[in-house]
Amino acid sequence: MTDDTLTGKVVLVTGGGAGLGRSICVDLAQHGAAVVIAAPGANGAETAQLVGSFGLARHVTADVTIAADLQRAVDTAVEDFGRLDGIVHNATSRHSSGVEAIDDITDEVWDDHVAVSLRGAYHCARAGFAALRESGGRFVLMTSPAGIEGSAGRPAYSAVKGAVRGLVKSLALEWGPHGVTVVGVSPLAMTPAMADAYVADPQLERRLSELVPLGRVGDSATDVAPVVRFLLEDGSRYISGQTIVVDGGRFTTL
Amino acid sequence: MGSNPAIPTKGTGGRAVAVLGAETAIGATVRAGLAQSGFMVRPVSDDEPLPPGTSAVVDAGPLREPPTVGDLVSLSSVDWMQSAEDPLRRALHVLQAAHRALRDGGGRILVLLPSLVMTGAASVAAHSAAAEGYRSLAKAAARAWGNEGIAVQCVLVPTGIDRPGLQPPALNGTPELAPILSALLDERLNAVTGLTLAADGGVWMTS
Repeated sequence: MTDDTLTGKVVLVTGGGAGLGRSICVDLAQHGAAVVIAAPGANGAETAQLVGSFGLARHVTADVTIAADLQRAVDTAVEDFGRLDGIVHNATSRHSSGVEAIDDITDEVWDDHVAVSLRGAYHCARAGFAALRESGGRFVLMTSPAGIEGSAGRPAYSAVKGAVRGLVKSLALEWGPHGVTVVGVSPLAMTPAMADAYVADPQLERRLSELVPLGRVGDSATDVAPVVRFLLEDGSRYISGQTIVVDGGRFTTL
Repeated sequence: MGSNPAIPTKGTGGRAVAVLGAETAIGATVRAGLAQSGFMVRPVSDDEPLPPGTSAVVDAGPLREPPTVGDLVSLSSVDWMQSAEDPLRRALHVLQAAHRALRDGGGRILVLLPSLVMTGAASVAAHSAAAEGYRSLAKAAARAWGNEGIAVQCVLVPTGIDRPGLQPPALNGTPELAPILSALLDERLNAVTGLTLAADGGVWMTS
């Protein structure tokens, strides 16, 4: 453990089995949080095992598209650790890195994007609100540059990540009077999805290195997870309704 | 679609504009205003194909019905679907239909959205999500179809559902929507796409 800024706090992370989600779980636990990992597959248990080697973790086999699964994850947090201080909705569709034209989006792809990113956020909100209200907690939703500037090659992903940003704004207003903050995070980070995007567009890496003032795509563990952690710490208590852009200076608007 | 037509440099006169959501109060205003500006306005329902010869599409559908109002936590899964997921799917279908109508000759797509998409508003989180999702999808379309001569813009319209405490409009009088739409439909305006324009008289000035 590196320090204890989150000691005594309990955070639920969806999509914590791999990639950025795993990095977030590890970072939170390294700073004292007990982490409940909601993930549908065996990799969620692997993350729990990794985190459990130095911190507190539980894995709940949970599909965010199923309301009862999220409720079980929240119940696990409260029953095993006594409280819930934060939810990080990080899960995304397995189609997130797929490239398609708007005309060619199939019902299967559209439905999965909507179910995981958007309906998953609704399920998180419904399952977690009572516990978050009690703790004065945080709801952090991972969004994307595609949900800010639009992506020609990933329109379904753009739509749901934009929708998540809309949800953040209004839910922050709704939950603010209850002492609960709601924040979006838009990372530019090397993830399995980004690796796939590099394959789909061989010029992408060069273009990003030119566009990003810091000259590189971020690292999930060292560039993005610490920002998510900050949004769960006491010092960020007055941030709500925003999309926090973690992209090395790529976007300079607003 | 191997061609790469430039956006035509015609003006406004006589072009056919399909208006979805034309039965709404704002849709009726749009119809009347655009007709007065010389457009041939064709009201179209959501399940009807866009008529041949359409050169622009205006979608007032997102303003069609008042959203279900209530805390997100209290929203039933059915209401969630109707407020968030169904409108977002409709957005996809509208843009797909518009593209089918415009891809051979270029044109304009204008999406009318509630101004709360920028500000947020309590008790309409699902509605807000759908609207912001549509705006993001419209930007994706603007990027994808620009080289076919299709420009896509979003125009934000006050709907009376606002967060409390906002500053009053900076401009006096009732905001006129039709002149804004006419300007955006003018094909001489060929350097703008992916725009979000708040037709709110100057309330929210953060972008």
